[in-house]
Amino acid sequence: MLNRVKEHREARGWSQGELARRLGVSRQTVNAVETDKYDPSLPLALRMAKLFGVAVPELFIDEWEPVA
Amino acid sequence: MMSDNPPKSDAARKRSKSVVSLVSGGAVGFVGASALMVVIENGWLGEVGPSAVFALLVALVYAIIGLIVAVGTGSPTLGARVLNVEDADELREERPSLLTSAGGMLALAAVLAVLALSGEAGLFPLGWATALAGVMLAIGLYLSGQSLRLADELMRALTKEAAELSYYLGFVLIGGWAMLAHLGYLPAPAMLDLLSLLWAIGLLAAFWAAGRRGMLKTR
Repeated sequence: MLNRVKEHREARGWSQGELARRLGVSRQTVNAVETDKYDPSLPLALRMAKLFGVAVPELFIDEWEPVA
Repeated sequence: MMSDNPPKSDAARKRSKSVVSLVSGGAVGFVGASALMVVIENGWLGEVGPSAVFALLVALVYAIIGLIVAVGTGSPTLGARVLNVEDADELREERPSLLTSAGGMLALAAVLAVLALSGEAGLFPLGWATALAGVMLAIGLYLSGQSLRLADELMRALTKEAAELSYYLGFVLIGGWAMLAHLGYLPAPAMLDLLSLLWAIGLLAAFWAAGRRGMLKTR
């Protein structure tokens, strides 16, 4: 899923390692999320959103629209 | 996700690391397999049939991977050159998980090797083989469990995917062989062949699961 994790991380001047430490996950997980190789679990997505002070849909972009 | 084109220096670093990893892995594998064949041909391991050779080769792959991860984690500067991590610090951060995982692989390699070298004309008498394989299996399962406990959600997700793929691979490979053997087209697999296939399938599935997510690309 497209996401803006890298954008938000870099805006705070954090390395992937720093973000991983704050989230309590491995650096590989942060890298996999940023490079769109892995969609995080809902709890991790919520933690990321809380850490960056944004809503989950601002961080993870889903282009799906409900059928009218 | 914005486009992520690495600068040329980074691309060159990745290319060079890929070459080092491939060459060193290939060299270790080739030397290990050649040494094993010399040992077998000289009869130093007792009587070793085709099933045992296959089992020993699979065990060797487990042992080599386990050793490379263990040595690379023990010496992060060296490990960062051959393992698929960003830098030595990442190996330090992941040390507990990687070391238990490497220990688990080495123990599982030992189980298969001991089983391959047991039997009437084998190196290990039945009692020794049972005790050794039993102890190594217990260690391997404990360490694999610990490694999973230490892993974060990405590694757990990959493990689940690998387990799922293992089922399908097992169905095709073991099931396919059994079907053909049942119909008389192939000789029936020996018990050791089934064990070797289980070990090999587990490893293949793990690489497949990682590769499917593009996680085998050099970082």
